[in-house]
Amino acid sequence: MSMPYQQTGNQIDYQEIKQTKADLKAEVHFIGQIVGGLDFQTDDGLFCELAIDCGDGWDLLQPGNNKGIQTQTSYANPGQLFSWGHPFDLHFSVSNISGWPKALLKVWRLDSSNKIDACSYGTALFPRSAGYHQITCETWTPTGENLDLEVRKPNEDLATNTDQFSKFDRSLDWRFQALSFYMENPPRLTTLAPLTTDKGDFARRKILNSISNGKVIIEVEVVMKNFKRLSFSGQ
Amino acid sequence: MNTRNYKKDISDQGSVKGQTNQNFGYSQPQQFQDGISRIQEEMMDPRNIQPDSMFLNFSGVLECGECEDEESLRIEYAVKYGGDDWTYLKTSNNADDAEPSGISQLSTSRNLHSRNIVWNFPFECNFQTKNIFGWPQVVVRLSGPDFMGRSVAKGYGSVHVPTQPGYHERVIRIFKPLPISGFTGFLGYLLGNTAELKNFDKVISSGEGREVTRVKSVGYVKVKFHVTLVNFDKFGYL
Repeated sequence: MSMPYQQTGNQIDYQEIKQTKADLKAEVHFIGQIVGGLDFQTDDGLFCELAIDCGDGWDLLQPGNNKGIQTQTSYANPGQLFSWGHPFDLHFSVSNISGWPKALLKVWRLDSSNKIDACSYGTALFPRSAGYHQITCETWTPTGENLDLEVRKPNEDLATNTDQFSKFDRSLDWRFQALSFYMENPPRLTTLAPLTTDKGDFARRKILNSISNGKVIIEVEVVMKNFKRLSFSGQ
Repeated sequence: MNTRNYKKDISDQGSVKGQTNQNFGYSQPQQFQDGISRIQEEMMDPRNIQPDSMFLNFSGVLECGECEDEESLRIEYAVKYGGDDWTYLKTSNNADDAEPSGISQLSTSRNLHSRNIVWNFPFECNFQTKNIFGWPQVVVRLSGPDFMGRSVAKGYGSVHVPTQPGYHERVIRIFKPLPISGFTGFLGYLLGNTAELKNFDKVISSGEGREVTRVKSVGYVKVKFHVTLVNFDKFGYL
C-alpha cells in the first residue's frame, strides 16, 4: 500500500501524512427536519419538542449545546399535515456503539385561549444505515396510572389477596376521565424517563394507561464516517 | 515502498567521502519511454494523493407545486449552509452570484380543475468543505399577486440537499405564517401587508426563534436533485 502524498501547489512534495487518532474515530451526522404531525384530530395549534437521548459513548460535537428543539405552532384542516418544518443538524463522535441516539418527542397543544398543555409523547429511533430515511413516530397520550400493579407482588393470585380489590383503577374511573375531559387537562408525565430505555426509570412505564394519538414525521439523512473502516455495519 | 529514505539517500550521497555512485541497496529508478520514473508516476496518481477538502456539486429543478386555492405563483429559492467550514464556489465574478439564490417566472395553473403550478426552475451549486456539519439546505418562498395585484408571500418551506450521490426526488411542505389577530389579518389583507417573514432564508434554515410563530400548512413543492460528491471517500465518509 502506498503512502499518501500531499499535493502542495504545483510541486508534488512527498511528505508523510501522519494520521491522528481523531481521523480513525467513528462519527455520525444526522441531518434532517421534523416535517410535521398527522392525524392528531384537533382544531388547536400543535407544536413539537424534541430532546436527543443517547448513550455514554456518544459525544455531541456540533451544535455545541444540547438544549433540544421546539418547533413553530401549526394549525391544519382535518386530514392535513401540521407542518413544523424544523431543520436539525447533529454531529456525534462515537466511542461506544451502545445507546444509539433517539429522539424523545413531546407534542404540545395551544388552544384558543392561548394556553399550552401537553398533548402526546413518542420516541423515535434514528436510523442505523447511511442515506435518506423518513421516520413515522406514533405518539400516545397518558390517561392515568394503574398503581396497584406496583403494590402487587408478581405471581400472586388475585383471589387470595382481597386487599387489591379495594384499590380502584384510577384511569378507568368515570369521574377521573370526566374531570380530565371537561377541564381539558389530561394527565402528563412528570419526567421523560418512561420514554427511553437509557435512563433508570423506564421500568415504571408498566403502570401507565394511555390512548393512541397522531404521528410525527421526521426526515433524516444519516452520514457515517469510518464505519466501514472499523467494521461497523451501516455505511 | 519507502520513498522517504530514497530522498535522503540522494541528498546524502554527495556528502559521503569516497562513496560516490554507491548503491546502498536501492535500485536505480527505472526509466520508462516517456521519461517518468515509476515513483513519480505513483506520486501523480490521484488515488495516492490525500486532498485537503471535499467538494459537493449538486443541481436540481424546482418542478411544480400547489398552494391552497392559489392560481399564480412564483418561487424563490436560497441555499443556506453552515458558515465556517463551507465555501460557496462562485461560477462567475458577478456580485449577484455571491450567495446561491434565484427567482423564477410567475406561473399559472392550467385550468380550474387542477391547482398544480409548474415552474421547472433549474439551479446548480458548487461547495467546498472540510466538515459535514452545516450541510446546505434549499429554502423556498412562494409569492404571488393578491387581489390588488401586489406581490405578497404565500408560503415558505425548506429541505436539505440529499447526502447520497445520484438522483433524488423530494417534497417540500409549504406553510404560511398566520397574523396575530383577526383584525391585523384583515387590515393586512387590504393593505398588502400580510404576515411575512423578514430574512426568510435565515429564519427558516436555522430554526432559532421560531418557537412563538404560528403557521398553517398550505401546500407542497416537488424538487428533483442530482448530487455528485468529490473526495468524500478519502475523508472516510462513503
